[in-house]
Amino acid sequence: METVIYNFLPIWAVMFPVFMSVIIFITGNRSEKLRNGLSVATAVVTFLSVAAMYPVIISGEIIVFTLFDILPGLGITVRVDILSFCLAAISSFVWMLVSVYSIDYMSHEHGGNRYFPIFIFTLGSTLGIFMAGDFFTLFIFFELMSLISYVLVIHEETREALRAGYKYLIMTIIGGLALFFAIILTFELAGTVSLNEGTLITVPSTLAFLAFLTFLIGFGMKAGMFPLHVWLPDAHPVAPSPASALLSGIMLKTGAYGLLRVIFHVFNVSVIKEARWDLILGVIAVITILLGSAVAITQFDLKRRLAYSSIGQMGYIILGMALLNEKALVGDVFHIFSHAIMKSTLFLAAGAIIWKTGLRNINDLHGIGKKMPVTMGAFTLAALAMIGIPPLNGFLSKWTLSLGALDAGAPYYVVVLLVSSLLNGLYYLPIIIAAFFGGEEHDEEAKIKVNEASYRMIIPVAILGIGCLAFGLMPNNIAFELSLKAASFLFGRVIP
Amino acid sequence: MFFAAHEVSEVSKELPSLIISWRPVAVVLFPMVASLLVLLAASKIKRFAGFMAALVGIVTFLLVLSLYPLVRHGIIEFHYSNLMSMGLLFRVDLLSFIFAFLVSLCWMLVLIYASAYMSIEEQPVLYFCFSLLTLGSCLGVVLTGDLVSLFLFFELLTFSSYVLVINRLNREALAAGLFTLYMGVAGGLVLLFGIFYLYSAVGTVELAPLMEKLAATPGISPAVIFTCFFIGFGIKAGVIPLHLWMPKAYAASPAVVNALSSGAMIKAGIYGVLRILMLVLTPSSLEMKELFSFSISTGYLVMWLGLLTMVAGAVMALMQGNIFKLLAYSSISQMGYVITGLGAGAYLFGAEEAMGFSGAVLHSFNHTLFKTAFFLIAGIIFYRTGEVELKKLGGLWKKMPLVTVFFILSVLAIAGIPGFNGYISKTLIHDALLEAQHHFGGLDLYIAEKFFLIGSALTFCYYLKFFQGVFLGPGPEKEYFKRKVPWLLYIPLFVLLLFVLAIGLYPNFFVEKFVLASTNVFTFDHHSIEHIAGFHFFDPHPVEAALQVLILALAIYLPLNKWKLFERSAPRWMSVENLVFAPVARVTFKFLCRFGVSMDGSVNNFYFSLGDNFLRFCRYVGSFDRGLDKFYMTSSHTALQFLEKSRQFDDALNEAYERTGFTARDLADRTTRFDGALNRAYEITSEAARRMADRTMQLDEALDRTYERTGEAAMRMADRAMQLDQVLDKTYERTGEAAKRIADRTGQLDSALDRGYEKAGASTKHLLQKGAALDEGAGKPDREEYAVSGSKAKRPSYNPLEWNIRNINFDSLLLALMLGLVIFILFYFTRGLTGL
Repeated sequence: METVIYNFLPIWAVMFPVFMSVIIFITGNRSEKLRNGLSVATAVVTFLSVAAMYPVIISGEIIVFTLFDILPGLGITVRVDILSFCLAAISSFVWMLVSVYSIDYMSHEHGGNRYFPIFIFTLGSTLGIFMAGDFFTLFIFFELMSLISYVLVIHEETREALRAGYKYLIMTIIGGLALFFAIILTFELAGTVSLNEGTLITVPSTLAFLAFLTFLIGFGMKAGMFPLHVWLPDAHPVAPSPASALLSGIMLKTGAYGLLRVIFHVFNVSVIKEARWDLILGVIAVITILLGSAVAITQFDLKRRLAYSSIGQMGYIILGMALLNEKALVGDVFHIFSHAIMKSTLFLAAGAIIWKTGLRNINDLHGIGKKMPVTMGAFTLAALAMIGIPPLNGFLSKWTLSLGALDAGAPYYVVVLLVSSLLNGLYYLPIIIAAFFGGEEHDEEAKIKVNEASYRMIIPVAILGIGCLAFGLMPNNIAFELSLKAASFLFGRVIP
Repeated sequence: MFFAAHEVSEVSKELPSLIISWRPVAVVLFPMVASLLVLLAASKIKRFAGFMAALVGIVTFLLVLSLYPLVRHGIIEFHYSNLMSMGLLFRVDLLSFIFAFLVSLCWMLVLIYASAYMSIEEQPVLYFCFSLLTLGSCLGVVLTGDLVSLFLFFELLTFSSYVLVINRLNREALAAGLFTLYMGVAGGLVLLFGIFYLYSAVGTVELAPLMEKLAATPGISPAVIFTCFFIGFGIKAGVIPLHLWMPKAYAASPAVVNALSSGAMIKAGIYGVLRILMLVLTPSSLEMKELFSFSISTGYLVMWLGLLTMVAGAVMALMQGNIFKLLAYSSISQMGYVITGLGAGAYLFGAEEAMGFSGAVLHSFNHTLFKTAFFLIAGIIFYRTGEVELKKLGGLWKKMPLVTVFFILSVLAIAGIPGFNGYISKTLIHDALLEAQHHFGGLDLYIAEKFFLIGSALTFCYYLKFFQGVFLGPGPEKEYFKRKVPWLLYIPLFVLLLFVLAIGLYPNFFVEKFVLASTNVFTFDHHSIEHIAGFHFFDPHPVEAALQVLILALAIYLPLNKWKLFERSAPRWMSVENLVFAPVARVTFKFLCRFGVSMDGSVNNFYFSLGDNFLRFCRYVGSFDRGLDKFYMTSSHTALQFLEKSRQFDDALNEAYERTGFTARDLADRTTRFDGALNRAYEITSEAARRMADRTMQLDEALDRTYERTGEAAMRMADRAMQLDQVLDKTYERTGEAAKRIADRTGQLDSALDRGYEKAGASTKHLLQKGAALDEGAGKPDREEYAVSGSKAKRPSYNPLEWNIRNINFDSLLLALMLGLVIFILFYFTRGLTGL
């Protein structure tokens, strides 16, 4: 089923935004309208070119080719399989919506000329990560994305933002170095770092363990895994809301994607099971889940609460990997989809509220739901999905993950998932309740007097919010189908 | 309609056929969609909302009824295989239908009531929209065929009923609502865990008897599954100790919400518990007797839990002063009956199991009827007076005689007086307990039966208290009658009491057609079903039990009332909430949060301290670096100097080399020249040598010749020499002779000389004597004298007359020389001759 196809869509999808970011930068000085239009057009074209790969990918084929070699066995290669496609598709989709949202959001902010080129450039590098054919190429794009997105983090240029950005930068560099080390180790052990070779390391030696650990540090750093998560709750809230949505919704997933590749391509299920490394992943996942959820309860800054929630949710994804069976992996990939949609909805909705009212503290948001019904409606859907209420997409991923956990003979993981759901409820429900049913007892002056945000901000939020429902309830759930295929593909490789 | 004549036995015996129909979906979706329409309509005209909602309620009820003809023939199913990626299954059997019927009936009546009632509340639109949504989800719970779909609607029910609870939107309502919601969500998650566990064990979530499958799966504990489900549904059903939300929620929300909660939503929980019993505790056939032990032990536990709920709820109800709280605890207590019935049914598996089950099903139906009536009555009281405290009410029987009659009838129903429906279901449950006692014996079951009687008596007691507080006694001085009660509020009560009386008076008809028909979802013993079908409800024995209860109730009530013991309420701490749940929740919550925050903080601090340490380390490295720098500087300086020197040396060396080079070149030149010269010299020399060689050759030749010549000459010479020799010989001989003569002559000479010397000697002696005498005589001789003396002294030695060299004259010398020469020549020739 693996055939080499010279399909240049992946390169186009990666290079087009990178190229366009320059043009956007140039036009930005002349006309703001043109700049915004170009940004949206770029995001749309990129999404369409990713989507155009669907027929090839869905037929089970893999796009593989080498652009050029730097050293023998080390070069810039392209590889798009079903997992890459899943990630690339959801990323470019969310990016497209966020680009529309950004137009109005950034109109009130400074530095739009810096924001938009960087925003589009990051899209290119993120797609590059997903479509890289080997770890070397992946590493290049990974570093590119990490470093460029620093500019998004510190966009506000406040003291707080700069501090958070500094933390982010340091951690990212550490992660990058760990990753680099891991890649070198792998290259040493296997002679290649291509994703196309099947299992690279088959013997769980000490060196292999070191590689695993450093991979875990490198990708786990990006994925917000405990104890490497500390940059996340600082960096995500200070960024402008559309950037937060991407940071939390998409860019965290690059770490998860990397870990998936490590588990299924550098090693394989049997190696990891044999070496009992899944236990490491499991313990980390449990701590990450509980810590993220518990700390979120104690946060009263809206975006900070969402950021901690992201940590917890990334814990689910790591847990899905730790279980090492196909059902859990379906849930895992689907949760990547789900969380991307849910968390971008939440951040965009929070952004719309902050943009309109300037309020960030949860206790101040009484009655906001009546003033901004669409925004808060989408927020509610996404938050309920986070708690795992059927028939929303979060329930579906939690369901599949839990079944995977039971398949793995580990019901305690299910208990962790459910406890986390309860904690999610504890920190999301009061927001919703206060938004819709609170504020009756407040006097007139304390009431929020705003109306709904502009349609360019509402529409992306609403689409994503409906996405939470659609990807849970809809028949022919495309995300779920893709997750199923991706999981069976990854397992098909390992077990011939 | 379900009155249609059909033999029960036929329905229960024949295998149920499968009917595919979308009707259940319509039943569920219609109210949900309608709630949106109501919301839209209400945004235009608020007054329409109530009317529309009542209409929707009626239509929904009719839709539910339309299921009956189908469900009588078999099981209705509808399956969306790809919805929610797991499929959504609707399945209606008779048990589902009974619950759907009572839910929709209750809802219809309450909505009709509410369309008039909600005018006194502030949020009618919120109520109507969400009550319709809740109706849909409640129907969804009872009409679905698998646990996932059930869970979907169960969660929807939790959330939409939350909005009903907080209808008043005041602080109290929000707090109670949040509490309800959290409990609901927690219960939902526990339920979800049960579903996961079950699914992973048996691979299906269908609502079907799974006991064998569970027993056949190793490592799976049915107790865990049962506990999870029981907790999940028990929270909705208000089983003690999971009832906490009920009093809070009931006290804070309008009567119409409470009527729905108590009349319908609780039943969703009961339905769930029923299904679970079917799932986990019922084998698919009665032959699997060995599996009953789990059913029996679980049933025993559930039965006691039910009895506890019943009595504790009744005691709590007795202590309440708020009519809604009283009714809330009453509901809890009544659910205790149902749970007891179910537990007894499970406990009696293999014996009279149908007794308990059908008693429970019938009692939940009955409870819907009279408890809805109670709440509606309480609503009317509140509508009329705006008061909910028993203390502040009183004397209403004069003002509201119709309501008083309704109330009395409802009390008779709930207290189990023969002729009313409560009597029927209580009798069945009581009989199940008696049957258990009969079957198993033992003191515990005896106590259980007495507990049941006490619970029933207490029920009667608190309604007496209610009655006395509200309708009897003097009314308060202050005039509180505010509004005129609209006639629409009475209609639902009429309907409800009609059902109450109908069931109470024709019990066997209902039990057969309705309740027993539903038991075909279980695998019950036919004998026990037939036993109930022919049950004589009005035998002296059960009637006697009812009378016992009445007497007991009066015996409890009268003294209590006399000493005003109702007013006392239990201390605050003495509740399950304050004793167990609140501390546990608080500790868990705090632990998790503290743990999370401290962990998060410590990780953060760790990184920061790591950073600090790293900085410190960097500073060390920096200072080290500076030292190193200094070292390098100095060493470079030294090196520079050294370099300079070496450069100089180098220069010198260079120069020397250059010079040497020059010299060497010069030397080389010279050498070349010398070489050339040498060459030439060699050439010349060689030539000269050659020439010399030539010459030498020539010389050699010449020499040769010379030698030859010499040889010849020598030969000739030798000849001559020979001749000479001979000549010589002769000469020698002559010479010899001559020499001899000389020698003779010499001898003569010699003697002549001797004599001359002697004479010279004697003259010298004489002279010397004369010289000595002269010296003594002259003294000082002068020079002349001396020279003379000297010459005088010499004169004696040089006697020219003597042979002396000086005396030899030239001639003699020449003669001597000639002689020597001759000798030499003679010698030479001799040698030369001898050499040759």
